[in-house]
Amino acid sequence: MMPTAPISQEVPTKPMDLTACVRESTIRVFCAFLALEVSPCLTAPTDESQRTLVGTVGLAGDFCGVVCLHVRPKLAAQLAAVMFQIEAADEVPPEDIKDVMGEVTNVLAGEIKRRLACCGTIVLSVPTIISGYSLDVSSLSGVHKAVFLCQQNGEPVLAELYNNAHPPRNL
Amino acid sequence: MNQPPLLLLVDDSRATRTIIGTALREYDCEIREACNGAEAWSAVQERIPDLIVLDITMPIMSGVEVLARLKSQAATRDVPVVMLTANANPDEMATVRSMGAADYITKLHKPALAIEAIRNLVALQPNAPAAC
Repeated sequence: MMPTAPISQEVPTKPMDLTACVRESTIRVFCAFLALEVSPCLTAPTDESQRTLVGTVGLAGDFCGVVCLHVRPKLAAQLAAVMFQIEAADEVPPEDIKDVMGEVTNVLAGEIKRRLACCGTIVLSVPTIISGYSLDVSSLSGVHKAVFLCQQNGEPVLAELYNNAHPPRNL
Repeated sequence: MNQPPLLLLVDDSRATRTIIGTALREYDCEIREACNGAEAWSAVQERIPDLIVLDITMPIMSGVEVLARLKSQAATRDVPVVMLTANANPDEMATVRSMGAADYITKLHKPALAIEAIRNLVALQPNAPAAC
């Protein structure tokens, strides 16, 4: 619910590349929901001494999977400051940072769901937030992963979509 | 003297409730908040609001379930409900409209659109400027 560019209500109906779906959804959510620009980057951060926050939202129904959004605490606090309209990101309480991580991941999953409308009925879970060091999401064998790695003002953002059948039905 | 309208904001995200609540500050209205469907239903039992902004995906009780309960009871059937969602899905929009939701807005839109949707359904008077 932040300042935004005009939002198209168009729902894609053509087959799509899931990586492109994750990339376009992430860019749109950062732009429209948070009024922040992200730009693609090619290499993931290698510094494992930093804590990471991961927001996850499950997708069930005709397309089953999970959406994960990884950011570092500094960017998570900045996102919360934007949402709560607070100037100093370091003044945002931890509970509000988790709340915003959940909501941003929820909106990202919602945007991905919108783009996957051709698959059929999809329902979203409520978000879960995980926090820790050297986090890596593992998946069962055969699970397809679509990834978009980008950065916002130098801070890495990793968006992932796991799904258990590729290509999914009707995609 | 007329009581200002009571608006019930229901969303499991405090950030989203805060954004809409902040945008409503310039209007003379009373705002109550609930963070899930069960809390919302309890709030409705205490006092029937003039309008409800209702998130769809929430823990404990979803917005769709709350909407169904509201529309099944004579006392609450006519309360306008604006559904709030993370995604604009035409099927979901059609479903909640057929259940009696008055409007449907996505979280990707500006807060002003939510306020416009609310103002289309309930008369909100701007707050008088504060006295010096």
